Amino acid sequence: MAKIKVDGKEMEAPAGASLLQALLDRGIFVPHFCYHPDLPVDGNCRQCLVELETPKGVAGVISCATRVAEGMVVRTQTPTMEKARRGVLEFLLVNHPVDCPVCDQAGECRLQQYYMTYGFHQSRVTVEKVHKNKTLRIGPRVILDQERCVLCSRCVRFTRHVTKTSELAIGGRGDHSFITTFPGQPLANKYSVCTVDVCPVGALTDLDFRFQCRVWFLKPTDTICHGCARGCNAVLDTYSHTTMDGLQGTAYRLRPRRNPEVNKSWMCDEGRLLYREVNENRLREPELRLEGGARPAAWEEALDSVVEKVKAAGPAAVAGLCSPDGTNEDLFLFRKLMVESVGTELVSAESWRQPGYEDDILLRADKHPNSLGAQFLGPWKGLQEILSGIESGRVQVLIVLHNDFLGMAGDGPAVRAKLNTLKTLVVLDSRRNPTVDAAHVVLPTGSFAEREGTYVNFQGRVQRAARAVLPRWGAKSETEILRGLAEKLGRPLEGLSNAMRIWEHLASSVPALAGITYQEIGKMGCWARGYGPAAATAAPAAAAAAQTKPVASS
Amino acid sequence: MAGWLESSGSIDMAFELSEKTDKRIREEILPRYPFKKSAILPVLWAIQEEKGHLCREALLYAAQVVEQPPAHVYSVLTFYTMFFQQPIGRFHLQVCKTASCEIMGCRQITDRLRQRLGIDVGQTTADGLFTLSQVECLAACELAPMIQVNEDYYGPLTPEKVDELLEDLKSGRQQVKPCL
Repeated sequence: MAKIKVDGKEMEAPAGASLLQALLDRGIFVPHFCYHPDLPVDGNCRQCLVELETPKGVAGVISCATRVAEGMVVRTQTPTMEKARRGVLEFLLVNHPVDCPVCDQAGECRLQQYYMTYGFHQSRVTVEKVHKNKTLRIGPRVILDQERCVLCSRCVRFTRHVTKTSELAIGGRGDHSFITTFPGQPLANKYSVCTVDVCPVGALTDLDFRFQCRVWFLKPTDTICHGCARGCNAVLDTYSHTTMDGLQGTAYRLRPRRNPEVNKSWMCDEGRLLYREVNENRLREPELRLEGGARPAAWEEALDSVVEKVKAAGPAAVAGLCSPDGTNEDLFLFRKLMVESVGTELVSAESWRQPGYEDDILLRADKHPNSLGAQFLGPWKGLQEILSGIESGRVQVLIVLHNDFLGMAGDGPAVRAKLNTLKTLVVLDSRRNPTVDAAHVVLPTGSFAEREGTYVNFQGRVQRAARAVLPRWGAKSETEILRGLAEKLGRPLEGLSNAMRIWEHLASSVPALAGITYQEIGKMGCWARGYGPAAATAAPAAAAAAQTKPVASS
Repeated sequence: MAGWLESSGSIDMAFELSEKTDKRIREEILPRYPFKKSAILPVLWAIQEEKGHLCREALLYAAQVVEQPPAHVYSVLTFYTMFFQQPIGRFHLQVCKTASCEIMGCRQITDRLRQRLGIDVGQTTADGLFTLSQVECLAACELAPMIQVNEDYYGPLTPEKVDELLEDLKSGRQQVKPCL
């Protein structure tokens, strides 16, 4: 650590670190475009100028490329620096169209923000602006407007240093410079929309999100992407404005939230589209498909009918199936319901979802968000054991929580045939799928946005996802449904009324989560006991354990 | 939405470099530099010398030779004005438009060429003979107003001399080196 003086205040900052980052970390805001904490420093925008005392006198330096050193004296607010930064900004605006009212970046655009701050409402430039290409579809997910670009090269550096695919470059020169792909070679890597995130202006926009909603109508909620075992830290943006109630709760986009330990500032293109699960194909009310056809039912009636079937069959004839898609809290509560309220030991968390694409950037082959968490909460029974129980007639009622085993079965018809002898299939899920279609009782749960809980990623990082919206339409939260069933069965789940109470139970009963508090997890997550870099050096065995096969792949 | 990926701005054609140029690039040009990346300009120049312009396939070839992403080669290409992405005419007429030539009336020369050839600056005649460009100082102020045809200088010019030069070039009375 080095002692530095900023605007007259003494403070400590890591020696050798970027001065700009040190200032930002200490709550001192300096305008900037090209600097990004997860990309190499380029220093081309010149916006982050600060005043630095040097042996030769006072100098204006770009803080991003200046390294913190002992005894540094920095001033960020002097009239000279304000004037210099104003000058830089005026140059950046010379050829910019300033078309904010029709630009989709409006509301989250740095250029717009600084433009308003510095008040360049009347341009001093009288010659015509340089015109470039607009609305270029440079890849399957990204639209480029060359006129709005400030040539910070963040997107170029992203493709060069993060994905190493190098699809983007700066072409031309001077005020005719432009961002471009090689002709005919699209920006089509699996992380292409990250270029939209890093773009500080409206030059790169996301084809999926552009013109869907003004960002000031959106409410950001910290969540965890459930697309694979990486568990990227993300923000879910949902509609939140009082004047248009019909849109309340609609999800619009999922974007990365910086976490250096897990996903840095990145997220894959595929994962971003998972926000659609909040809006599309949803189950809106309980449904009963018993003798006499299918019909919607009230919650009370639906739960009563499940309890009736369970009681009629007897504890030994009931099985439960959840999956590593669920939060630790839901898995814990589900198991407790099955074991304590129903009285059966036949509970599985096995998923038949096939492993997918994997690379060394973010994507993991294991497409479950909570394989390690499910493993911590085990041991579980195998799914085959339940199926043979059904085949032999021993199991008559199967309760399924978030597990589309019929949809994911290698041989669907064969598995379906086995289910013919099953008297009652109860499915708790948020969206329509083959397993839901085969169910006798459908209980609609919330989607990931309506859920609150923790996941453990493949590295052993315990991470919390917050609830963005209340269960939509007629859905209910998993906790409420499971607790309702337990109560009707005559053995209520005492003291487990919400995610926080359930977590307290988990932290006191699961060794890998022992003593972990919400405070320790915080916004960025924390390592499970025996996991993480510290544990890896202390006990390589624990690290090896982290690499063991997830419960999912059987 | 513009079909950016389809309208590549350069002509797709079967690209085949002569063995001679390929050999020159690999055995003479590349070894001159400590990093292959540094050879981008001479490599592009060598290809243009043979082909007259740099099509998309030529850039892909260059990218492969210097071991750089194609986008980087494209970035270099578009920075410079003397690389051509489209085929140009047999005679590249480059009118100097800097101070001395401007004072001595290069506008008249450009206008005469426009009029005689029926094309604007930056265009090529339909018969593929002439391409008209405006360029910055060619360091031949003593010849102002002057033009460069391929590699040769002509000046001082008058509108009448322009007509004469065009005729001589067309008829072959005036021999010039082929276009680079």
